Amino acid sequence: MIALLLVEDDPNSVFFFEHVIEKLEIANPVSVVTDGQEALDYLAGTGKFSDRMTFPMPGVVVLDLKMPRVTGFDVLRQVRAHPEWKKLIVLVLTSSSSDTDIAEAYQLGANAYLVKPLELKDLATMVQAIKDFWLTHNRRAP
Amino acid sequence: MELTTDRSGSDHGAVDGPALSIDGGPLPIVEVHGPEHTVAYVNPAFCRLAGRSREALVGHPFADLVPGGRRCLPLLDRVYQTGEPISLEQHVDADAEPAHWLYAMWPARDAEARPVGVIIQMSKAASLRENATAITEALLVSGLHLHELNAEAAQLNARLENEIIDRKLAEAALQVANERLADQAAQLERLVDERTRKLSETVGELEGFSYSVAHDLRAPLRGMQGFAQILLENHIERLDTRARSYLERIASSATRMDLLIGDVLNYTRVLSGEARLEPVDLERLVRDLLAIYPDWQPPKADIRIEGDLPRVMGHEGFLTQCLSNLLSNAVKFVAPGVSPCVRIRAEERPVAAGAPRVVRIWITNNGIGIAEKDRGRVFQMFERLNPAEQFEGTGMGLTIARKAIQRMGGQMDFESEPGEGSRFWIELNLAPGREEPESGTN
Repeated sequence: MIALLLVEDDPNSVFFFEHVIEKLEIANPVSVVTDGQEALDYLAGTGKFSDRMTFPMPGVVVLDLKMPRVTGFDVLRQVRAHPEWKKLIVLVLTSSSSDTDIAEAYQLGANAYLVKPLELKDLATMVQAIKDFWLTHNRRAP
Repeated sequence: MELTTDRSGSDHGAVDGPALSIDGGPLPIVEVHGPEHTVAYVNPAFCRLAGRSREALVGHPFADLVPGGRRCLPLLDRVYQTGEPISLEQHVDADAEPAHWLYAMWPARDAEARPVGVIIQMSKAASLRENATAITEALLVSGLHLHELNAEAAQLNARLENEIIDRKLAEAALQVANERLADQAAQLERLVDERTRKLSETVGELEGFSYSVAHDLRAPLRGMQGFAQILLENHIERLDTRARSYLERIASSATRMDLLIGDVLNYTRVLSGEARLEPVDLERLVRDLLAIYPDWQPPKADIRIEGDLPRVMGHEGFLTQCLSNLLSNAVKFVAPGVSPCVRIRAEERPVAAGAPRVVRIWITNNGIGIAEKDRGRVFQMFERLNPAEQFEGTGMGLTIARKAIQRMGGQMDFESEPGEGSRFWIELNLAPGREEPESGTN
């Protein structure tokens, strides 16, 4: 089952995401890191993320953009430059609807760009769509 | 009187009657016949000299025709009788214009070489003495005249020199002024460049600021909204009616705040976004809009396009923003129990010859209308004409709509009567090229 990595610095957003995952009874393993540097460490399996049993390599990364230390854009840039990660599915989930951000995210190789909805029911719809499309129907590169 | 004999021309061929070949001669020539020296031929030059026509001369005695002609008679007789040519010079005072005439006479002969008359050729001459006097006089006069001319030339020169000096001064001044102007223009250009750069930096910063503010404001809003929602869904049994209503108010406040932030962002986008205009199919744009929102479809609302909508020069994002604001207002601001009814139609406007064609899009609603006293407030930021409890909104919809139209070089206004609904209109340039069907005009 494809593992999902949520990269999100806002605890409320993390809470709602997990709340919705639970409510929708999505069984895929979900890991959470709270900034860009942690995300890169997680992917590399360094430091506290060295145990791949506890911290499985994700098939899909859900990435916030505005984060302290290393931003979502930096993560994207490094992921796409990395020989083993460059085919990783990365979905941007952010509160920014700025055209500049959307353009840059795609420029850097994002697979999708989603804007955080205000209401929980809209978030639930979105997460269900992620589950259906990216975790179920979509075929990833080997 | 001086007589000379000259034989040149004596072998001139005899002439019987008018000699046409000498008709065109430049000197006056007359031919006389018989002992009375009756005129038989005159050339046009002689006619001019005598001031009479050929008919008035031919057939009259020569002596009567020219001043001093009588004095020529003995000579004429001699030539007639002897057949020898003669030249003479004669001073004529009788005329108003004194003149010396040189006469050359030679016999005219018939076929048997018998003299039948005399040919007289006249040429004007001036005597040396008189010529000298005339020349002296002319010299004197021209000397005087030369003096005058010199004086005049000197004056003219002085004036020209002054003018040249003036002109040089003016040119120098002009050059200084030009240089100063160029300097100022360059300075102005630098200033404009600098300010434009600063302004676009400020605009850029402002845009960045709006987005980060929106981002930062929206995160806590999602918190309020989300947790209120979770309480309402998962813990409803432990809440009394009042607690539930409070939670609902937290959620709706958060929603309202989110709308406001969204409109501030929309306004920023309309204000500072690039407004590159291109042909937009208004018909398709409106139909797409109507299809998206359930609130704009029957039975909730009756929104219809009357006729066809043309292609206009616009920006799809701005147009969408403007029209969705107008439509959502039209659907929102209706009296209780009234079902919204909106009609959209196009009308081409008259423009000056050569100007781009302009179309006015009417959006007519059956809403509560706008009182004339409120006209000024309608397009102002955050102005709300109606209480928030009754009609939800941010008070920015029309501000954004009008700004979007203005960014596309168009205009927007409305006509309204309270209780009668409103007729909003926007005016934009028609897209050139393809003929678009028009309603209400052709």
